[in-house]
Formats: sequence, structure tokens, C-alpha cells
Amino acid sequence: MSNKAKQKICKCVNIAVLSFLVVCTFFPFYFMIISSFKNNAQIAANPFLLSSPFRFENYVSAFGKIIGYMKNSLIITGCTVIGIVIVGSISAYVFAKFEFPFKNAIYMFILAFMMIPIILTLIPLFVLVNQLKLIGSYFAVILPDIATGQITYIIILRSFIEGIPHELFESARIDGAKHRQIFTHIAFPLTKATIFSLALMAFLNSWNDFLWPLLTLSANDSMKTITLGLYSFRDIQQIQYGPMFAGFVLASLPLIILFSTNMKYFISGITSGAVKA
Amino acid sequence: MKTKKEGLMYKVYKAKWCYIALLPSLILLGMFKLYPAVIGIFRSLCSWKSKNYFSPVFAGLINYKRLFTDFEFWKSFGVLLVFIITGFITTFIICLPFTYLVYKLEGSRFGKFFQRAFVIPMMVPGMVTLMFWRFFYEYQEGILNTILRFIGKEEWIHIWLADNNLTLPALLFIGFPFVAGFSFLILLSGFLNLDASLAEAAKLDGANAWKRFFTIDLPLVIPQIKVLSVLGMINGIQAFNTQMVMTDGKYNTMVPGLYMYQTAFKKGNYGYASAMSVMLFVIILIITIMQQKYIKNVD
Repeated sequence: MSNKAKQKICKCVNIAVLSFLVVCTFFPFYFMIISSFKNNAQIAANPFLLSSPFRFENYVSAFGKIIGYMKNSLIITGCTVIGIVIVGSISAYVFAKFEFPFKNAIYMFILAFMMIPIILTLIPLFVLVNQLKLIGSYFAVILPDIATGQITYIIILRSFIEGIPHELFESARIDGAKHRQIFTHIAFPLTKATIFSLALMAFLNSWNDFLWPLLTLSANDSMKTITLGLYSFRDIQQIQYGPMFAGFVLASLPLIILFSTNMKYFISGITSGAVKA
Repeated sequence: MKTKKEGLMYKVYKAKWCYIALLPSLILLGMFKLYPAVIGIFRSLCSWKSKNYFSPVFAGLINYKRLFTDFEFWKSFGVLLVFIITGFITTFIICLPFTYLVYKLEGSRFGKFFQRAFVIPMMVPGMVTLMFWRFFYEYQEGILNTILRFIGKEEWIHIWLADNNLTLPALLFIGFPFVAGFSFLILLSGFLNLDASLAEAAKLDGANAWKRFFTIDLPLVIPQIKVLSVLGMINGIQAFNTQMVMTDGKYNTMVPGLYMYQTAFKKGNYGYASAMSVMLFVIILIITIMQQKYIKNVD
């Protein structure tokens, strides 16, 4: 009995400690949200609580500033993710289901690029993209992002496709299915969850990317991505904090909505992926 | 001999669709990864500045000689080491035990709640988090100084992001309380995959909670710990968003990546910056190889 009581106390202490940590973790978000409804005077006078009047106009002005950045980010991230899924899925399927000369050599070649850090390629890649006259266009970000993002995608998806029982493919082939059909009717449905979570991961990376868009897209304000847009708040003198925080909240919404509704896929995908890779 | 060669050619011909299917992947890699990497290594041996941007001149090892005597560069490695060690401490001494506590609540409604609560912050864009912390340390309206004024410790108020001694600790504190995020997710998945029967057996043997944690549960998440330490190292060496957004590398917060970036894109000395990036690449490579070897030994 006393042992049970002890366990109960342990559990309560545990919950109390973790609750405190959750409060600390979420304090920034709480602060940003309440501040997004205030003007500078209200933030200075009463920083940690809501105070009336609520300044909804902050959101109107932030929305006007951010909507263009958001559009750019959505185009770049969308194209990158679609590109990775298409190019990566084809390669992963070929590696998983075909035997051909030099297969391992080619696979190791791709694998080796995991070792090449972005930092090594940063300067020459900038020069290359400059020579291709891509600076200031979406492709300057999309193409290198696909090239980098596909590597882990191929490695992880290959191992998942290889995990599908061989008999499924055999019976389909005996029934006269073409490889395109086998891919769309067997491999794709069975690895949908993995593909989905890998795509979410690629989305997160591309949406958060900062350095490369800074180099290639920051010259023209109408091409800036959302991270660059937020970064430019840094330099404004006499800043109005309310609209800035409203902008932060708006910029966070797409990711939070996308991931909260797909949390299960995301967690299972990212964890199995990280350990396999 | 001849037939064997023909055989290979025939096999290659027969499998031509495989190669064609792999072409998009390989072209992208060749163009945006391999070519820049090779050029980067070659250009690190050149005198290549913004004034001769289109015509780099081969200069041998001059950039590397200069690099070895560049005090700023090696000092930035010291700062980087502080960041990486702090990262390891926050991951394995702070995040790991609390992740274990969350795992211990698995099965109750609190467990689900905490699991989600510590994953959600991952989805807030990194730039938003950094800009929040900039505001946190702001001199006039900043949260930290507001709190200090509120509790009457006026003498503790500082210009947190422009102080040779205090700015580095201030940057290290970013991310407090260090539980939520990617490491949490990876470690949690490790704990959730634990074999429950082992824990039951230990309980029957009368092992207390501490002993159970160190002798049974902790060894089973060693794969996750390895993954996180490799990633922490490789990503840590390259990361400089925090320093760039908060201080631009001033006030003793310069790290090698940012130094390279500024040498290339602010000062326009591309050749010298390329030598730095090659140096960082070599260091990353050595660490990766050593860790692979070490990991194999442990297994």
C-alpha cells in the first residue's frame, strides 16, 4: 500500500515538473500572441498580460507586409517538396527493385554526398547560380534544395520499399503489370505514410531555410521568402512591436496547422527515418 | 575475356531504363553538389577576390598558410567548441532525463499531452524563435530587463547583445528550457521502442527507479544518443544562423562558419573563404570517420 502511495507521489511530482517546463517552453509563444494585440505603449506598461484595447489592426498591417513573402515561400517550398518526392521516389524505387551493373557504385556515389557539408559548396554554388543567371529567381533555391533534399529521401524510402514482401511484386508482374503500375499500385500505397512524413520533413527544412535564400533572393524585396521577411524586421528603426509579433504569429501558422493535423505521420516518419539513416 | 565484356555491355544495355530513371537524381547531384564541391576545393588554391571574380589566379597554398596564422579563425573555433559542448549538455543532461520522465507517463492522458506539447515548438519557424530572443534581450523594452526592473535589480540590467563578456552566455541560453524539439522526438522514440518486458523483469528483481534508468533503459537508447551526437557535431560545426541574427559575430561570438561567410560575401575574398570551407569540410570528415569507427567498436 505504502509503495503504491509512493508511486502516486512520484507521478504527481513528475507531472508538476513537466508542467513547469511546458509553461517555460510556451512562454515565448504566449508572449508573442498577447503582444501582437498591443501597441508599444501597452507592451511597455503591461508586458505579461493582455490589455485592452485589442489592436486587431496589427494583424491587418502585418498581413499586408507578410502575404508577399508567404506566397514566395509557398511556391519555393511547394516546388521543392514536389520535386524531391518525384525525383527521389523514382530513384528509390529503381534502387530497391532492380538489379543492374554498377548499382552499388552509383548508390555509394549518392550516399557520399551526405558527407559533403553545405558549407563547402556555398561559395561555388553561389557562383554557379550566378552564372546560370538564376539569382533572384525561384529556381535559384528550388533546384539546389531538390538536389540536397533527395539524398536522405532516397536512402530512407529505398529501405522501406525493400521491406515490402517480394511476393507482392512478383504476383503483380505475373498478372502483367508494368513497372509504372507496380509503383503506383503497390509501392506507393504501401509507403504512403513514409513518403508523407519525408515530404513534411522536406517542407520544414525548406520553409526554415535562411542562408541560401539570403544569398540568392534578398536583393529584391518582392522575391523574399518568409524567413528573409522576418529577418528584415531586425533593421527597422523605431519599430512597432505589435505588428511585428502579429507577423511572427502569422508566419508560424501554416507550419503549425500543417503539422498539427498530421502529427502522427510526422512523429512516426521522422523517428524511424532518423534511426535508419 | 571478350564475351565477358560483351556480357557486361549487354547487361548495361538491357538495364538502360534504370540508368535513365536515375538520371534526374544524378544530374541534380552532379550539377549542384559535385561540381561546386570540386570547384570549391580547387578555388581554395587560388587568389580569388571580388576584383578578379571572373578570373581566379592559381596561387598554391597561400590561402592555407594565411589560415594557419589567422588568430581570428582559430579563436572562432574556441567559441564554436563552447556552443557544441553546451549543445551536448542541453541535449544529454537536460533534455534526455526529462524525455524519460515524459516516457514514464506513457499510457496516461498526461503522457499524450506532454508528448505533443514538446513537439509543437519544432514547427515554429527558427527565424521567429530567434527574433523572439532578440526581443527578449532588447535593452529598452526587452523581457529580461523588464523582469529585472520589476524585481528591483536595476544594477543587473545590461545591454545583453553588445557586451564582450555577457553576449556569449546570452546566446547559449537561447532555447531555454531546452526540452522541446528534434532531440526530444528522437529520444522519445527510442524510449517508446523499449521492451516493456525488460522493465517488468527489473521491477520484479527489485531494482529501484535510478538503477532501472541507468542499467536497463538508458543503454537501450544508445542508438538514438549516437545519432544525436553525430548530427549535433556535424550540424553544430556548420550552424551560424543564431550568431548572424543576434550579433553578426561581434562581441566574442564569432564562429568559423560565419567568419567564412563574411570573408566571402562581405569582404569579397572568395579564395580565402574557400580555404576555410575546405578546412571545415576536412574537420567534419575526420569527425565523421572517427565516430563511425568508434561506433562500430562499441557495437
